[in-house]
Amino acid sequence: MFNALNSLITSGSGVNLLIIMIIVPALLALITIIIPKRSYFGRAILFLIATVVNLLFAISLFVGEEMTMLIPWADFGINLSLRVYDFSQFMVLAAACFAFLVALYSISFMRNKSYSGKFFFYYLITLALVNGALLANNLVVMLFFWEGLLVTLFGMTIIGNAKRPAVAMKALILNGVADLLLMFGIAITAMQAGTMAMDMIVDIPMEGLGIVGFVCMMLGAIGKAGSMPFHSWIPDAAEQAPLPFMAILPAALEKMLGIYLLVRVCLTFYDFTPGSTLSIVVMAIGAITLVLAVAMALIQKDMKKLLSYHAISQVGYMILGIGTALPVGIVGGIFHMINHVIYKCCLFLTAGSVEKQAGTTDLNKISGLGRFMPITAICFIIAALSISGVPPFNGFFSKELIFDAALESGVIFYIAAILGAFLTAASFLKLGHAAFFGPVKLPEDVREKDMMEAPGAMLLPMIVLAAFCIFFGVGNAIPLSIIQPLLGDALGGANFAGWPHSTVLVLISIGVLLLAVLNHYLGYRRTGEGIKAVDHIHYLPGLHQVYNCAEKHYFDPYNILMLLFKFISYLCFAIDRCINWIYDVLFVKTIQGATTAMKNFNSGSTSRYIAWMFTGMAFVLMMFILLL
Amino acid sequence: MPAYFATSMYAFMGAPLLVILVLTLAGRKLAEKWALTVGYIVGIIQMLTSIIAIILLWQYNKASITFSQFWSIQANDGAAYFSADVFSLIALFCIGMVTFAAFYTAKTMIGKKAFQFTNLMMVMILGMNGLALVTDLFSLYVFLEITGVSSYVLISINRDNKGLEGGFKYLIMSAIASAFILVSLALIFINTGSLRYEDISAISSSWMELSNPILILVAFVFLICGFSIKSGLVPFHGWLPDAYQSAPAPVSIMLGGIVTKMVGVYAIIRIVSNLLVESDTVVNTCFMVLALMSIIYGAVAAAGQKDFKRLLGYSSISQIGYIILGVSTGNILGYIGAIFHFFNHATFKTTLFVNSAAVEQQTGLSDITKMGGLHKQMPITGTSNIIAFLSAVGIPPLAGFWSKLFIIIAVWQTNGAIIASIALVASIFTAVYFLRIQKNIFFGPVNEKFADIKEAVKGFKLTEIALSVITIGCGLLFPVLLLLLQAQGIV
Amino acid sequence: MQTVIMFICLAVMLIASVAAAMLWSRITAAMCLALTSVSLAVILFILHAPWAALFELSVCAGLVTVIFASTISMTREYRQPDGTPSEYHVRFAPLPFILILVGVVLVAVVLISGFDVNITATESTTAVDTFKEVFWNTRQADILGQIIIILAGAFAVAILFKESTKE
Repeated sequence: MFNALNSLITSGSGVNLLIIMIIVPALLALITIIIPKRSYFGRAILFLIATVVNLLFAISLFVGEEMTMLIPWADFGINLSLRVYDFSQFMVLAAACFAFLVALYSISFMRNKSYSGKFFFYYLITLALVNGALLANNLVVMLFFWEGLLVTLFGMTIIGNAKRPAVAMKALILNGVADLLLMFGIAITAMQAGTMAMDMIVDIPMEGLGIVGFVCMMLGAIGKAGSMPFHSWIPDAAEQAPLPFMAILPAALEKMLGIYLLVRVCLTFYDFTPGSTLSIVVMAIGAITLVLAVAMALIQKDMKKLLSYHAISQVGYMILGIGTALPVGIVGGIFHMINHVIYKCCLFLTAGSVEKQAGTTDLNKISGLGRFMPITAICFIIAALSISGVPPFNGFFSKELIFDAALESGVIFYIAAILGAFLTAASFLKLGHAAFFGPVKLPEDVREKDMMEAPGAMLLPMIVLAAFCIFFGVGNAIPLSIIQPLLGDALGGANFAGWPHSTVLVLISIGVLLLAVLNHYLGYRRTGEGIKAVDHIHYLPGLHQVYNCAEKHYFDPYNILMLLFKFISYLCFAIDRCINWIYDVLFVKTIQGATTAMKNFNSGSTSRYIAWMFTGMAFVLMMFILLL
Repeated sequence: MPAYFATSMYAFMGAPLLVILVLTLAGRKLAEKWALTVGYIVGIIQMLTSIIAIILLWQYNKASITFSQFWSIQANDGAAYFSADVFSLIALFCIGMVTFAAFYTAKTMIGKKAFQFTNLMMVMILGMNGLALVTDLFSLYVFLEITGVSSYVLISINRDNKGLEGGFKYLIMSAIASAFILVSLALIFINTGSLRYEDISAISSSWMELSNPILILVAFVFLICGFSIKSGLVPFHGWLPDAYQSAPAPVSIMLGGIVTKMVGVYAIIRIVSNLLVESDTVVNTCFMVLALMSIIYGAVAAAGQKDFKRLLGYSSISQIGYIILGVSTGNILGYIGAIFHFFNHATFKTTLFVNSAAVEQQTGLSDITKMGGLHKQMPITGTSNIIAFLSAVGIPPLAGFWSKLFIIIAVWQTNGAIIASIALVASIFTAVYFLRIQKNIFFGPVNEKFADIKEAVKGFKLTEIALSVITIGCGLLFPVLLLLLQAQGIV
Repeated sequence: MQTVIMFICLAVMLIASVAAAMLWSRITAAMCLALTSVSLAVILFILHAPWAALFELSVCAGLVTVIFASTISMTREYRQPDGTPSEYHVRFAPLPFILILVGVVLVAVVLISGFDVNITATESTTAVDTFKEVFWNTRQADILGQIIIILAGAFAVAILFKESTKE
């Protein structure tokens, strides 16, 4: 059936499905915003239909073959060139699925919110832009769509918060800086490769300018994905932005885009070899992100913030995996990306339903909600087990692949990864215990008998995603069969499906998990409250001060950047003052002095004038004598 | 060449004489009533005649027209005819324009002395016209003296202390200048035997090999000094600000607008262009140095002045410096720039002096620190002031821009970039003092004393508007003229 | 012989002009001016320029002195505000002598340097008619100029001095 759909569209007037995938969501977004506010139902339905249509198109792309579209545009090889091949087919489909699920969720979430129209509008435009970025075959075209996401990011973050745009500005600036780096990297890449067509750029050697290009592009890609040092807007946005936004953009689409580009850069564009300096650099970035982010996540008391820090930390895993440049690592990284999107989306959706029902996600105010929201709690548990890397859920398998690759690259990376796993497990134990188990505690304005499970439209996506967690875990051959061919020849014929190869690693991982459980239990026993179960780590001497500083945003790269700007602007102001002084004071005084002197010359006495005249005559005479 | 052409040139020398005759015969009362009117009619006639003459010259493709006035003279060797070429006609046009301006605005300021004023002005105009039309150095001297004498008396026409003192200073310095010029003429005459323009070029080239080169050296020195005093180049300029300040308003319009330029600059241009065959000579260098000093000195000194007319005097020193700078380059572009700047200076300086007269008439002051915010009450005066000073600074598309551009380009071509840059930078100083006037007099907060003054009388308004129109028009039309000249192969 | 007379006349010229500038009595000063013109006319005559001498005599020594005399009669002596006579001529007394000294020095320098003054006197035209013709024809501008200057002088005197006699 989808083949038929495909051929139906392509046979008509030469319009390509590829460009439709970009245009249709955008058009529907415009229509959505035109529909009047009163008819929430109409808007919502149209919104949902848009995502369904997108999904259908994506499926038809997925089952189709490679397709390209080329419209010559400008000089320097900038053409509107779109291409779908196996990687992007897969990504587009995944993006469409998530978009649909979260859309379903958000219809229900947004029911009583005033900014629903804007949200739908930005959502669909984002979808169009993401499609465009994934389908682009020309560096400039991709950059165009990539940058377009900045606008919708800003828009979505500022929804409902127009008076305090600080977070939106922060997001814009951080992402903008990453995009600038990307632009720079693209320029160098294009120069090195001699072409802007992405399918033509293969294996640029990593030396001299190539290194600069690679680093820039990599930073641009991971910045989009939300790794350090471009991460600090995500926790802040978690507090302010509407939750479905968090679920779809930082958790899902941005990660996908970022890792997609990173994979393409490492795999095809540049000649990225394991053990090279740059590989270590990339791995280091991944490891640092991993550890630091999860350490921050540990101490959070708000569900959404905690989840967002975890999102940052998981990106570190992906980067670590891809940075190893080993087939096992790259496969692991891509697989982890998909898995992460599934469970992170699910986690955010559970947090959203908690917020919708209880009004807040602050762990100090709520507790023991599992009683009222069993389905949400079960979904949460499944997703939490996945993220911690518990078999047989999907997180376990992808993490094992990454551990394997990390160990092969260097013990220190492995240790970092394991540490991250430990802390992840600990923090989710804390979160689950605090939010869903334990004594019941509710905020003041919510009565117990009003608490109930979230509406069905919100539950359905959660359940679907949780099911996928299980599915991709147990039946991991299926996703791997899509991912593994992406590497082409580099795979070397290995197959990572099924249980991980190295039993030792598995044992170590399970041991770490048990350690985390123990740690949690001890903490619980000590403090009597689930939420305080990790306080002993928090308040360790040494770590305590560091945590305090981190909480005060001292380490926030954005703040550091802002301080630098303040300094520069102060300097410019001082220079400007200097220049003003020269103009206003120096010149004026000089001229005034000169004119006063001259005024004294022309005093009115004739004899003085005549004296001057004779001086002049002598001067002329002298000139004559000298010049002859 | 039609016969009426030569006859029409009589107008220049004849009209003022006729006016004097008529006024003297008409009796005191009638003369008093009509004197000023007749005066500006003479100005208009002169302007028209010069324009027609230029057009006729162009049409018949002649360089100049030679004629004899009142009685015909047979062509003889050494005859001193009158002759008018394009430069003379431009100068004559300027004279006519400034005369018109001076007479048209003189009514309220001269009062009872209209008859004598007109007579003397006619004599002065005769002197300047003659200056423009002669072909002989000695005649040049004679008419120079005529102009000088009449201007001394005109400055002191009101017989107040200020006027008498200013006139006396001018007299003394001018007398010394005349003495110098006469000495140099004598020395030149010794060597060439004739003082006609076409004959004096004999001494310019290879004068060092002549039998007595020191005579020529002394002649040049005296010539330069004498004419520098007359035109007001630094350091010979001492009389100029005082004379401008102490003259009554219509006289300062004439003085500042045309007299100093005719007796000084016009004469220098005539002599230098006829005397010096090569362009790179000591005389040129001398003039260039003097001109540069004048430009800078005039501009800087003007920046600190409080009195409007004195400031305009210093500004004249600076602008005359520019003209002489153009002349001193020796190449054709410089000459064209200098002549055009001569014309422009006549226009904008006259406008400025007319404005100062208007302001003085309405407020009774000429101290600019005491005025302020007059633009509301005197919009036409203010606007024409702005146009005049924009032209002086050299801002496109006004006329001053073109002339300054040519001069600077010519200087760049012959003397190098440094000097051209100095001249250019001095333009900024020009802007400085003009902006100061503008701000102090016209913009800024209104002084309560002057809250109820009105726009100047009708005479002033028309003159200002006419002069501003000429400035703007010449600026806009100059490129057309340039194309014409290029087509003729002159530029 | 002629050289001696020339030098005497030069000396008379110098003394008379200094006196004209320095004397307090105005009429005497005008007379000294006339004396200067007369001695100049003599020099011109000796230099074979009779027509120049003629004009010099008639115009400067004659016409100008008459004008001066009539103008001086319209003026009165300058007194300082407190009534005492002016002191300028006492203060500036040395100035003319310094100037003369400078002139003498310059001439001496020029002569000593071996400068050869070769002055060719122009031939004086013979017949009166020819002269008049030439004069009338060639020097038209100058004649016009002379007439105008006389006019100017007349007007100047009228403006500057005439009113005072009425008052």
